[in-house]
Amino acid sequence: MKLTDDILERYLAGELSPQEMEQVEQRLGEDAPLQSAVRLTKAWEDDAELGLKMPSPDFATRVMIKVLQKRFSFRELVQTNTLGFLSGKSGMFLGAIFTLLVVGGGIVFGALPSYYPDLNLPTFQADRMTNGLPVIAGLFSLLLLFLLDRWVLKRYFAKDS
Amino acid sequence: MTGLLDDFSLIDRVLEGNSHAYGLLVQRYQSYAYTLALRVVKDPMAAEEVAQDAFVRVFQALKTFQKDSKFSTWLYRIVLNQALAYMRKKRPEYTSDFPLDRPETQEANQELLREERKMHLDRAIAGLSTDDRTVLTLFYFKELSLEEMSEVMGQPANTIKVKVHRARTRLARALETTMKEEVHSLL
Repeated sequence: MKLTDDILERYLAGELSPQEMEQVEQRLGEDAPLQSAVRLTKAWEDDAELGLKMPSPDFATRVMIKVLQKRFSFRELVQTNTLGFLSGKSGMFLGAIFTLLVVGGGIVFGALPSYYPDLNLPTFQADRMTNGLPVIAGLFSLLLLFLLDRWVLKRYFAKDS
Repeated sequence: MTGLLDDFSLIDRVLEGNSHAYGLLVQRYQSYAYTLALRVVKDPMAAEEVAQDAFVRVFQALKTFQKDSKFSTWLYRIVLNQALAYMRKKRPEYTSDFPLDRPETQEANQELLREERKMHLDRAIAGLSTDDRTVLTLFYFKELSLEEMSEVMGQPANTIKVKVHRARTRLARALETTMKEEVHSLL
């Protein structure tokens, strides 16, 4: 029996009749190199790792370095969820800075005229007008922050919003 | 315990900002991605670059991943596209002979017979066409159905089935040649 490519293909696919199978195996028994070749082809089928190649040991580390290099962007700095980046860690951070600036600024500017009277710095007199200013400034800042939040969501997180 | 999580759970964690979860995904599929890339580009250094870049692209596109297919199917398609793009761009001098094997300390302790088998397999595979190498590599990964392979390769499942059968036969013939050469070299 001549072992043509067609017969070999059907043999490897297990599509031969038992009689044909026996004939092929008999033929393989007479041809050691072909028998080894067929065995190895089938061995790979039984043992997927036989054909598997291993990358260098630091492969995953190098991938993660590349990933982190790509990740270091504004998009990643302002961690967000569907509510907006102000509701996340970045919002807390921004809020803390904002509070520091307002409180710190108030203390510094409020205290300066009494520390340095020679400079004749203007002092704020508490009246109806100046009482309302911090409230207006606070509301305006909140509006700005809200608009910034919406802009960040739209610009960088369009899929989330 | 992220080590036991399935792919989709790991992806969810990555999307929540857990980079470590992506490291686990990379470790899980690195040898498959590398093997596929290597079978196409036939150069270990280039295959590492291709596979790494594919993982980076996967990370960047992870949000768009539809969970109606397996993660591995999606990954292999990106690796294959990346490898084929590399092949289109590469300079002619890169078409060097496929090295029979690269030094792999992890596998150094394995039995000699297994190493010999691998060597024969590598040599025979290297002589096949890119299409044959790709289809056999995906087929022998074991985890992909014909439909998933067709998704990776962008060809009908029936075509893939025929290609697998023919490629396997050509592999057996290529192995037969290397076996005969070895016998001759011993005489």
